[in-house]
Amino acid sequence: MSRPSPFRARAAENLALHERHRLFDAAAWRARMKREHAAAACEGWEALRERAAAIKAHTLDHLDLYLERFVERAQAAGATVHFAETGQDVNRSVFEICRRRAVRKIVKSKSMTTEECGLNAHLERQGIEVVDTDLGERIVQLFGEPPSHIVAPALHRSTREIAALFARTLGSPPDETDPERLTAYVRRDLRRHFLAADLGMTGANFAVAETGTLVVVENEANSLLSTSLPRIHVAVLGIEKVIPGLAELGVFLRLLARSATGQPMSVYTTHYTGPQARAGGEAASEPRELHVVLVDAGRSALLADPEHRRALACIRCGACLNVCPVYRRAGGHAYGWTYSGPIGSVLAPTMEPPGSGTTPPEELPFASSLCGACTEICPVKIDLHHQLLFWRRRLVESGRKPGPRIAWLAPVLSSPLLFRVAAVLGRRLWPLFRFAAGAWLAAADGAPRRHIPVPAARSFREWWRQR
Amino acid sequence: MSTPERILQRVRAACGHSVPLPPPEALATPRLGWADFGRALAAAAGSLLEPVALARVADRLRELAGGPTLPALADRAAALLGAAPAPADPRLLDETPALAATGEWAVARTGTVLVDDRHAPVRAHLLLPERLILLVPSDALVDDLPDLYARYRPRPAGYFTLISGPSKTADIEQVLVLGAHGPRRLDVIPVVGLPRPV
Repeated sequence: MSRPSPFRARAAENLALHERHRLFDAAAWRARMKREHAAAACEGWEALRERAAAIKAHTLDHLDLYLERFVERAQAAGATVHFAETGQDVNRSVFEICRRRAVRKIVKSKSMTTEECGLNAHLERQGIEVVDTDLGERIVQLFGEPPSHIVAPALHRSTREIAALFARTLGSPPDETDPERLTAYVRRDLRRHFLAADLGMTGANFAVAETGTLVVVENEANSLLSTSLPRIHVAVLGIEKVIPGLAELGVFLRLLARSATGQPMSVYTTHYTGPQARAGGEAASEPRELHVVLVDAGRSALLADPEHRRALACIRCGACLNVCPVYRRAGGHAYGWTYSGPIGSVLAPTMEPPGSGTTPPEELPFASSLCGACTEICPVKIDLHHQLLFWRRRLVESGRKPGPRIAWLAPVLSSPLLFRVAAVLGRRLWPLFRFAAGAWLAAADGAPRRHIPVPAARSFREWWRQR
Repeated sequence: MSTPERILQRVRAACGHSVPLPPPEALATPRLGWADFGRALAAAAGSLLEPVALARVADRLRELAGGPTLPALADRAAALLGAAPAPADPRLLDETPALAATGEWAVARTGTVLVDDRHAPVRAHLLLPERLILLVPSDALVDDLPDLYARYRPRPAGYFTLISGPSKTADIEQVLVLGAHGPRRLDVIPVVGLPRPV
C-alpha cells in the first residue's frame, strides 16, 4: 500500500475532527448560499461577469502599459514605488523602510501577498512587532497557524476554541463565549496597538492605472485605521492587481463583495492616491509616506504562459473555495500553501517560493474532482478546473507524476461492442468484484474513504429499448 | 538592469497588445430613490433618517446626540455649522460617542456614501467614534456604482472612501458583530440645500 500523501493525510485528520469538519463545511456552504442570493438579486450578473473577464483579458494583455501608467501616476501623487522580484525582495524592501524610520510596531491588515513571503516572521526576527488587525487574521496569528480561507482566515475555528484562546492571550473571562463580547475584547486590545503603531501595512484589491490609486475593500475598518493612525502606509500587492480606470473598478466592485460574502458592497471601499495629508498644525518634519511594493514572484511567468495566464485575473473572492467539494471536506490547511482551494492549487506552485508549501506541488492539481463548480461560480470566469487539468497534463508529460494506469481502458471505451460486453459483465459480476475492487482502489489511492459507485441495474440502452 | 526594468521587460515580452478593452457600459436612466437607499442601508445594519433642511441640521444633531451640545464634527460639517472641528489627534478621539461628517454622493443600490478629504481630512474622524452620522445633499443620490464613478472625479492626490453601513465582522463562526473596529452605528441624513464643496 502506498503511503498516503501529505494532502490526503491532513484531509483525513480534518475529517476525523468531526466538530471542526462539520463547522467548516457548514460555514463554507453558508457563504456560498449568501453569494447565490446576492448574485440572483443583482441585475445583469452574467453580463457583468463577461465584462469583468473581458476587462481582465485586455488588462493582462497590456499589463506593461498599465503598470507603467500606474507607477507614474502614483509617484506623481507622492507615493514611493518599489518593485520586488521575489518574496525575499518584499521582506527586504519592507524591512528597509522600517529601519530607515526606526519602526518598532506595525499594525497590519489582511494581505495574502505578504503571507506568501512570510513577511511577519521575517520582521519579527528583526525585532519589529507585527500585529495582525483583521479579527480572523488576529485569531490565526494568536493560534500561530496560517489562514485556512482567503477571505475568512479563521473559518476552521469554533467559538469555543477562540474563547479559550482569548482567555489565554487577551485575558477574557474563560467562560465568555459570546461572539459579540469576544470581538469587543479584541477591539479594545487592538485599539491600543493602532494608537501606538509607527507603520500600517495593507494589501490592495485593485490598483487603478488612470489615477495611480490603490483600492482596499474591507468590512471591519482595520485597514482604514492602519492607514489613518500611523503616519507611514506600506501596501504590498501583486503586479496583476492593476486595472485600467475607475469605470472598470465599478465593474469589479459589483462582483467582489457579492461573490465573497454576499454583500452588495463591503462596508469600506477606500481609494488611496498618495500618502495621507498632514493634519493642520502638524510639523512638516513629521513623515507622511505611502510606499507601494509591487510584487512579481512568479506572476510574470504565469503571464507568459498562455494556458495559465487567465488565473492572474483572480480577484481573491474565495467563491471557488466555498463551492469546492474537496476543499470543504479537506479543509484549507490540507493544501499546505498560503492559497488553498481550486485557485490556490493553480497559483501556489508558481507564486509562492518553491519548497515553502508543506504539500508537494505535484499533488495540488489532483486535489480536485474536476466537477467544475469552481469554474461555474468564478466572477471573472477563470476556467479553474481546466487550469487544474493543464497542470495534471504537464506533470505527466514532464514525468513528475505517473500517467493513469488505465491504458487497457482505451480499447474498451473506443469500441462500442467491447464496451457493451464489458458493461454487461461488469453489472453481472459486480457483487463478486466489489470487495476486491474497493480494497484495490483504497490501497492504490491511499484514500480509504473513496466509494465505488454501484452500477445501475439497467444500462441506458436497455432502458431506451424497454421504454 | 534594475529590478523594475527586469520585471517590466518580462511583462512586456508576455503582452500581446491585441485584446481590446470592452466599450464602456451604458448608464441606465436613474430610477431609484432614497427609499431604495434606505432599504439597502438597513440591510447593511445602518439607518436612513428623515431628511432635514440645512437650517435645521444643528438642532437635529443635538437631538441625536441627546443633549444641548452638538456631537463631534468633522472639518467640513464643522465649517458649515460654524463650530469647531473634532481634534485631529486620534488619542483624543478614542471612545467619542458620536461624530457627524458630510458626504459627497449616496448610492441607492448599495446604501453607500462617498466621503473624501474635503469632507473629512482626518480619516480617523470616520472611524474612532462609536456612532457616525453622515450628512448628504438630498439631491446627491445616484443609482449604482457606475453612475458614481462616472460623476465623481477624484482629486490628483488624496483619499476617498465608500462607506456602506457600520463596521462589522463575522469572523467568529460567522456571527455578525457590529463595531468590529470602527463605529457600531451609522446614520445617514439627507440634507436639503447642503452645498457641495467646490
